[in-house]
Amino acid sequence: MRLVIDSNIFISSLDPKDIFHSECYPIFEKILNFEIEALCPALVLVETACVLRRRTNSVEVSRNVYKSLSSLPGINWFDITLAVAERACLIGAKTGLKGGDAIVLQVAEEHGIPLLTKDKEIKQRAPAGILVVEPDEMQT
Amino acid sequence: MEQEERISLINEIKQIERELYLKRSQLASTGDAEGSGIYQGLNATEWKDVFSRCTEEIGRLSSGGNSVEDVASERQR
Repeated sequence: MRLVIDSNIFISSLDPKDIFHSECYPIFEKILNFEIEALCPALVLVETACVLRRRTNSVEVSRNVYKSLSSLPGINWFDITLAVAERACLIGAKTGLKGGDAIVLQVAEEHGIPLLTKDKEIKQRAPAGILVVEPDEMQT
Repeated sequence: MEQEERISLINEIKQIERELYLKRSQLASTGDAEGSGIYQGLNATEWKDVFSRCTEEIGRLSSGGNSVEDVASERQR
């Protein structure tokens, strides 16, 4: 199964004190087991490392998160090229969502796969044709 | 070695490492990685150990929170 994974899923998975940890960690386990192939814009890596840096106040933790996630074979990281930015702009213009939201939606649109996020605003405002799912909809 | 040449070499190495990583990811996603003998990185169990240690450390230090709110505020700055 291939999915675009939003930053909130990684943050919740990696932080046991996050309120969504128990819901999101099983998804991360599936990535570790190669049951899910994750596709993510590089922005997700930055957001995850930065949020966890602020929560832990630890440079080392933030670096470990970055190094481990960027090397994990189950995640494909995508550059935000000008072409990507252009398509994300169109999504942002259409939906009124924030730039980061538009970028993750763009990856889902480009690859024709669902976006997994806990953010209900993205789910509500995503353009028709881009499937947005939450972890509790993934349980089999 | 001139500074410019050094930077160029570093960038070239980064590009090769990135291509290697992308190919490894592509191979891993097919499920054939471990059997192919090509992927030299950690296996799934070792990755679990890496993230288990990482998660434990985050849990020890983190103030916790709501990831949706934190990412939303990250995207508002």
